[in-house]
Amino acid sequence: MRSVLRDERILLAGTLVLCVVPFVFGNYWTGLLTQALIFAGVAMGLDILVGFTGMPSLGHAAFFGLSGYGAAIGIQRYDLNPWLAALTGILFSIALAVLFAPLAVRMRGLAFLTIMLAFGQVCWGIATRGGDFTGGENGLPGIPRPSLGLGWWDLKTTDGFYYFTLVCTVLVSFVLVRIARSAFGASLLGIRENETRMMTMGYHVAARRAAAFSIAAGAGAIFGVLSAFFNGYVGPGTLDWRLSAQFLLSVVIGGAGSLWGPFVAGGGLHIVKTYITGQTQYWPMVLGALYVFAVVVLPGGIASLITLARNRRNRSSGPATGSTTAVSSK
Amino acid sequence: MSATPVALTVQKLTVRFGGIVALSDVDLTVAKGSRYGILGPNGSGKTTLFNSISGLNTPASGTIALHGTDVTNRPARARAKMGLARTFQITSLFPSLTVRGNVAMATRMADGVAGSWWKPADLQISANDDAGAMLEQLRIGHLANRTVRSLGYGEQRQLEIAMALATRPSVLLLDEPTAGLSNAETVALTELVRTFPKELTVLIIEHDLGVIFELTDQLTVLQNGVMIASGPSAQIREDPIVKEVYLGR
Repeated sequence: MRSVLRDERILLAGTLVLCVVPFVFGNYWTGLLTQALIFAGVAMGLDILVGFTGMPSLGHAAFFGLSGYGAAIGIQRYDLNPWLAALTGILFSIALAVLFAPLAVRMRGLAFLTIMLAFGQVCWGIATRGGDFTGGENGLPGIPRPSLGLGWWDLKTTDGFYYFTLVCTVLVSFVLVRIARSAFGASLLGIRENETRMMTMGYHVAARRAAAFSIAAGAGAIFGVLSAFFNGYVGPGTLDWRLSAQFLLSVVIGGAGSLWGPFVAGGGLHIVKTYITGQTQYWPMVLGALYVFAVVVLPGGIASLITLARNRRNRSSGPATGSTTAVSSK
Repeated sequence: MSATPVALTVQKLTVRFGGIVALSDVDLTVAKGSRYGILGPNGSGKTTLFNSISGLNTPASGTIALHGTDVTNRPARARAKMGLARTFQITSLFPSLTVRGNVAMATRMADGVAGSWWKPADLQISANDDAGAMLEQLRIGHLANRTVRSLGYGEQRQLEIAMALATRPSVLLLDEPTAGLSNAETVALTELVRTFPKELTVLIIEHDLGVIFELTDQLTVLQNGVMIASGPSAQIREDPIVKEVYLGR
């Protein structure tokens, strides 16, 4: 009971802090944080698949990129209203996940990772060879942002779009936290730990893995559209396997299975990346080093720092029962 | 005997792994509420038989019926929903979850709330009460908040049984429940099986002959995947072939 309230308090506190950003920082930082929130949300969603269900994917950018492409093509080729195009893009991406899930969830571990890499590369290949329809290598620039029809809330301004992204992030995070805390979320942990036992207790393991896959894809799709509107552009880079790797590493560095860890790492990596690519071209090396550091020094990721601190504090008052994942300690 | 309803029927069951015949024409008729023992040396096909009954392998031929319904082609989860539960010879738990979390995974399924995706699982009153009651019943309530990984082996074996019972089964398969337990723990476990409700059908694979003759009323002996004897436990105990093959006398 207390743990549920704790999640909601963290969410509320985080939201309040993030609300202040445009007042304290200029447009540069507000814009940077908008993109950081977008990547944070994707990583959090991916954690449902990687951390909870134990299925590491190296093709998650596909769902992120395709929804952006879907929205852009809807607006530019079919003259759809931007809201309708956004919805179309998201539904297109989720539909693809639902269709591909039955095949994907037959794979385990490395096989799953590899088939997702292949899936992502196929999407990337189609986008780069799609000619005028997808814009090929150049992608599709000039995507207009939608309007809320409110004079005081203009999505075309940096602050306005930041707040819109923040609202979406809070809503998606809240839904993901509730799912993670539910009986369904617990069953995903069970599948990660012991699939056979779950089957012999009556759980439909394949269906639940497919559901986790689609939920992660859904979160990726929502933020993919936001990213397309924010940048006014989609290109093959949004489908690139390197972006998939960045999402997966966000989950690992943040602490798989903790939700908020991947959120912090997903956003943090983008900020660090922006800073470092401004100084040097060796960002992939830095990312690799960060990953090695996380795996060697902090195997539970950023999230385990809290557990470590709590255990240290409790050491005098009793045995430590904390675990690296927030959910498993309930 | 003929008046007693049958809980489980296995007919002409044959299981092959590549060229190896793991089970050959095995027949079992297990009456409702009986305590049925499966005896046999290592590699005789006992666990393979349990895997077939619970739906974890695909038999080459033969049929398996649960409460009179043919389940040969039904997946493990469907059989579980029909009241079948099992434990594993090699402890099979959720190591990073708590003891309560492990048992709740089973009670949520029994309570029909395992698919709920919005309500926090730790607020699902009925499933949590059931999990707590099950832990108390097995006298491991004090371990409820411990991580499974941190438990002793004997405690894990108890939890293994708690999880199978928590699905509220009608047919329970116990695969070597006393494997690796101390004498005192074995006695406690035997006592526990005695307290099971009368209407629960129990099949036990066991190497401890004391345990098996004490608990079971019917017995089937396997050797190299073939049934060499089957009948009332008291009778099997005196069977000369069984004595020679298994008891080594």
